[in-house]
Amino acid sequence: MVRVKQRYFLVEIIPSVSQRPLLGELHSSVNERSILRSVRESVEEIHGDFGVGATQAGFTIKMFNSKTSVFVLRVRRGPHVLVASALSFVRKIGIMSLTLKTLHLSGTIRSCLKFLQQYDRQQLIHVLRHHQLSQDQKEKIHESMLKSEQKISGETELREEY
Amino acid sequence: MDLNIIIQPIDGPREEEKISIQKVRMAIKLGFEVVALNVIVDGQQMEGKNLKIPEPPVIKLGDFEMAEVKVAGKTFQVKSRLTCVVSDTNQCHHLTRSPLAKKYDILAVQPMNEKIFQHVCGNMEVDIICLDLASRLPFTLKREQVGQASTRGMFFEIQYAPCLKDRIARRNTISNSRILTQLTNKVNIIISSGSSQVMDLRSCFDAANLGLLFDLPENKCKEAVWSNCKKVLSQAVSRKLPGKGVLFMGGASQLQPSDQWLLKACKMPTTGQEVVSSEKKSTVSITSDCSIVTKQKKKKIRLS
Repeated sequence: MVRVKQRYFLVEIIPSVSQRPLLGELHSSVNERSILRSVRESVEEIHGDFGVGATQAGFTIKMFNSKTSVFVLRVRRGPHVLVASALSFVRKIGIMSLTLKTLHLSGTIRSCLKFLQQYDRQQLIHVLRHHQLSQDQKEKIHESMLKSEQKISGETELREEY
Repeated sequence: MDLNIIIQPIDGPREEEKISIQKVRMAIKLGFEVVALNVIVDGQQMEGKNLKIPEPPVIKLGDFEMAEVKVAGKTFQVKSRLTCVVSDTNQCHHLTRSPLAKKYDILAVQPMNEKIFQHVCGNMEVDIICLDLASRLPFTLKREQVGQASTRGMFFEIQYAPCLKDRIARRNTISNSRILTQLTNKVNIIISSGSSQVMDLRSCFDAANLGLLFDLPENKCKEAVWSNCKKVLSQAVSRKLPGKGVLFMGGASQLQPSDQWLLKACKMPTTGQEVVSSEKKSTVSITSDCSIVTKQKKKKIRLS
């Protein structure tokens, strides 16, 4: 039995300047269903019925985090090229106008999440710079970061979930 | 790299500055390392005595932006670029003579008819030739002229911002750029945004993916976004210099075994952190210079 090969896109949502929350969640109309729908619409816009048909099998959102506004999109290998070129044509999800930024493309979801961990740490440093923190809070953050590292390297929870 | 972020004096200088700072911020957020601010000049502004080329735009980055760059562990540069819409050889002459045009880092030309396109490809010294791909081309491109331009080291530009919104513009861009890629044999092409709005910017990775629509294979897409833009910049530097040569410095330890004779020839000490300079004096032409430079760069990248 040959394994079905997939490609995973790690994509960040960048809201337009007027609607950008500095920190916090995206609008509630942006959810997994609406993201999938708008990506599929833009594939149809660029590649037509052929594009939609080719990408439809196994086309799902595997993860969506509305706080860091990042999602993981799964496509079969081969037609993922069609999705890659169509992602930059997405201009609206739900009622929010936004653009999508492809962060990473990989063959396994694990390497996607590894990359995401690194990326989130970078972002976290940037966010923390703009907040005055007490020594107590800093220690707490440090502790939780260490914990998360153990989680990923242990792969316990992630494997079960995906 | 994105060598085309359009800046226009729309609602007074203050408003313009505000928008352009927003654009630069967005570019940083998207992970660009080099950005060129593009000033577009109409052909009529360059006729006769009333030569109106504005000063190159300057943008001061605050601490906030620089902090974001540092976190990502990158560098960030802002270049200036002048794009002239020309329809007359007279205007070309004025452009090459103008001292203000020389202040810009990159010089681009948008030819409006076949005669001027021929002139630009054969005689002018510019870095980028951009064509309005979003509408029907006013003339047919010929392989001779395009080949002539690419042997002289000019690059053709594909702008993706117009095709993000409009269906007709998208069709035209795709069809025209397919013609262009066919004529240039898929080299000498750069992909840039050409965005007048903040939300039309896309990250490097997405821009490279858009190249798939323009009939470019995957490796050429990446070249069109990264290495070709570097070539444009190094050529722009060499165009300005009177001696027409570009100098790159590197550590002596980075030299390949095949180039070790340079150390002896130049009587350079091999120990310590001495720096070897290998200057290529150009007696031939600018383009040959640039190709040498890029070859050296490639060698270094392979080594590291």
